[in-house]
Amino acid sequence: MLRLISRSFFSFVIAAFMGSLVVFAMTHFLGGDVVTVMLGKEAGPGDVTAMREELGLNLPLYEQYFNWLRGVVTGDLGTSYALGYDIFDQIAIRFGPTFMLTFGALLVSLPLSLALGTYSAVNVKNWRGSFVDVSTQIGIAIPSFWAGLLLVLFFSVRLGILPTGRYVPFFEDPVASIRSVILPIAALSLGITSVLTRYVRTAMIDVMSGDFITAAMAKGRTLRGAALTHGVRNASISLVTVATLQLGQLVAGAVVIENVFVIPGIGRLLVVSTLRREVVVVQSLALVIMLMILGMNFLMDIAYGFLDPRIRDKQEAQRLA
Amino acid sequence: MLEIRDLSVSIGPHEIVHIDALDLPTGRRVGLVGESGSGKTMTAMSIVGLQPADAKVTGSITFEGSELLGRSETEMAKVRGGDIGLILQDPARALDPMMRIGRQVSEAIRIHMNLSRKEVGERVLSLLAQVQLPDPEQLLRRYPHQLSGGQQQRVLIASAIACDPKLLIADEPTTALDVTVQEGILELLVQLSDERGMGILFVSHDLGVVRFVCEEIAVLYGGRLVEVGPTTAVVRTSRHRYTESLLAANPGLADSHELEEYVGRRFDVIRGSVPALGDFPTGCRFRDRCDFASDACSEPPPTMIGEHGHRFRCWNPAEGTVNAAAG
Amino acid sequence: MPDDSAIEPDASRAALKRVFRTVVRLPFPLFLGAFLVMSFVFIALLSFFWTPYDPAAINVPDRLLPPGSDRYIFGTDRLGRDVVTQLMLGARNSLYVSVLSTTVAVTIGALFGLFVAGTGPRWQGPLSRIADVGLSLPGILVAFVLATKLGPGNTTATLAIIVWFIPVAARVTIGPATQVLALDYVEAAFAYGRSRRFVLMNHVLPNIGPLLIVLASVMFAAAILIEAALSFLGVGVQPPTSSWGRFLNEAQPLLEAAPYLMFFPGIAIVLTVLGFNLLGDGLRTILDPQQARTGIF
Repeated sequence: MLRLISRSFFSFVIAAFMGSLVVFAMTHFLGGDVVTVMLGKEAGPGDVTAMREELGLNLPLYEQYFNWLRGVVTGDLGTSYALGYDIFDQIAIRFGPTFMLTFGALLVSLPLSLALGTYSAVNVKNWRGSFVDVSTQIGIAIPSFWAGLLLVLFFSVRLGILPTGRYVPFFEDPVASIRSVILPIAALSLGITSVLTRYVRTAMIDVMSGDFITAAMAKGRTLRGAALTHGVRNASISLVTVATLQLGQLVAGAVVIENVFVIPGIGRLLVVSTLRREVVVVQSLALVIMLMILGMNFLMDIAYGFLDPRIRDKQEAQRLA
Repeated sequence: MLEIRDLSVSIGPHEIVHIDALDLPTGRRVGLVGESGSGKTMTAMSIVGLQPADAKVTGSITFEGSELLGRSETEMAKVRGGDIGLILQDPARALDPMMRIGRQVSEAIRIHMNLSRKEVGERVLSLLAQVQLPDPEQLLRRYPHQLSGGQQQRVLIASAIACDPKLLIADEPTTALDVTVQEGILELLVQLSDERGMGILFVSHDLGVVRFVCEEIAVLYGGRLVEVGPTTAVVRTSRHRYTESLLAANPGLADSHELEEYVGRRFDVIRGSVPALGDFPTGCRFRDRCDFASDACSEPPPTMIGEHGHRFRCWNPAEGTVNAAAG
Repeated sequence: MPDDSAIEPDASRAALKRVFRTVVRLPFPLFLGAFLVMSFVFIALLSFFWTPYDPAAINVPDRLLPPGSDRYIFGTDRLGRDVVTQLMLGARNSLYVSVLSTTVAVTIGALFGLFVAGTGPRWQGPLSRIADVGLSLPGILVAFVLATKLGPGNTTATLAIIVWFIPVAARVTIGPATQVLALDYVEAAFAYGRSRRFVLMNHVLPNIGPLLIVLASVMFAAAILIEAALSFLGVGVQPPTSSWGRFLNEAQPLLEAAPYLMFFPGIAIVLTVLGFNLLGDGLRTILDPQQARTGIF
């Protein structure tokens, strides 16, 4: 197990470095000159030179790259040109809401999709299973921001149950905090749950035709009993694998949802900064988001190790065989 | 103990299996022999209600006096694992890769018997010892992938007999195993059957293996019983032409001194192959592949009774002399 | 002289009947998907020639009329523009972005994938790793970095989607392409002295063609969703260009006052994306029923 964790961590670090290189390269090579973009076309040559100095753009590229990476650790990522805030501080503050949103959506969608997918697979021959199938098919076609708007319209405006207002940090007031993120998490989970449910359904149908299900039935279980005791465990492993692939989409959805519900997270800052052409801010934001995804990836790998004994015992099995 | 009468299993328009009569007395080991596609697995599965969902089963299968067919899934689930144990073909695939051995062996116990956790644990340990697995305490916490094929099959046997069933249905239990391991498993099955008075319905295509384990053999072709009788009778004095050719193609387990007899001998092969579901000829289903077929064979052959309950259905049976191939 | 013209109408009617029968026998999801997609394309193309109202017309006195009003079936938006017209223009934009980005991405991605598959086992590992890096970096980040440097706009959005999709197309191509290369008759082609390029283009490509069509179908759907999201955030199309996403953005502040404005573009997106998804799924079942259902996105 420890070997698995260290191996996954190693991949995480490598991927993080490679990703940071890609982000850095994209920021500097794609599109126009950084300063011109930030200052606008009317900027005078004096302003341009001054900014280049200030941002260290005259230094050799590798030096800029390392300074940037160092800044991630030391807490100095520069300040926003347009609004003057310290970038590192803002990211630190905004990390919480984004994490709550993404992690919350993951916590909701994983068990939910497992349950729905299994239900749909066990009921594959009757209308219940087909109903879930059709619903998820529609679910993956619904844009998350539209779902968010619909939820707001229905729950807040019409029924007045949940607040339309501001996000409340968790440590300030846990109950109000959770109330303020229910709708955003629901909107975000919709798409992910639909995709994962469809996958679990397929995986469970596969599993249920497997021999060990029949063997379990031979011991005295009904099909449903065998599916629940044996099938689910096996399917949840594939679920974790597929969910890992969906992380990128999850974060993308979070960025959009933060803007729909005005949640003061990293996604909101990303959009605002992009529209203000703040290259420096966007560069670091992109890195942070990428690290978030890789981090969740890492956690998924560990979860996978917990679930699948075969991975854990790979070396032990080789010893025994 | 188990009586099958007029069993018919159909999928769509095709009648895959039709068994007019087959009996399994208590504690007796009966082999069900046939090539792949002969319907033997289908028969075995139908007894416990595990036939494919689209298969239609009619007839009567009585177990200890009560009818098995037509029961609901829940009722059948009660019988499976409790009164009737079942061993499937490939042990590696029959075990849940995510669940510990101890838990899998105890599954049937937990379903059918009302025992405390401690009692369940003790019973599992005792079962593992009875199937001659080493170090049962260690084994409890292992996962299937950590065991060899032979060990996995022993675990399956332990799971199947966990609740002391009166009947054990074994479907090709040794086919997926190495030859060196097979004999041990077979001996174990015979031993368990003798010790517990447990009957075995042994399904296999390997006549040699069946001969080793079973006291009675039923030969199946195209879903029809062609010959039934005590092992020695069927093997040494086989009457149906199919049984005869099966023996010629499949002489039996090699004992050490018989090995010399096999070296250099030609193994006969039954000409042709088993037809697809809808393509069986009318009358005797073996007709097209039989060297002794006559015009009479276009009608279904009658049952002829030989000695000691030896039945067969053939228009042109073998003489009843001792089979050279049987040894 | 026998009257030949009497034969022709019968022959063509028979042919038409045959086509009709094949279409009607298609599995329902595929049929529905094809229908939705064709409707979408039709409406988008129609918008070039005709819209109920002049696309540029702003008619403030008529603003915020609910659906079912006199001259406006689906109502008007905050500037008095007809909703139906706006929807049609939005369709046009979606079609443009999705077709352009998907074709370019699939072409480049598949070519790269073919190339990688053709390099053989030694180089395939590391090269696939490169494609994987592209996959692991979420496309959304690419979109935003591009938008920051290039400025928001339809072109930026299209470009972002292309850059996002290329690694996906490459990754999806490599596996099957490698499998095809291992087929006997393809190896035989090499033995005859065919160049690698020839084999890739003339043997492998046609073989994975159906797979690419299915991929394209799924990508169309994704592109439409992405374009809508980017436009909704203000990073995609800019006024006065119309987009379903932008439509939703403008509808948001009017959520309470005019909720209908939010329904129509949303439903349009759902139906179109659903159509492409169903089409892709249906094609996949027809073209290769054994192909394992793995999630591409």
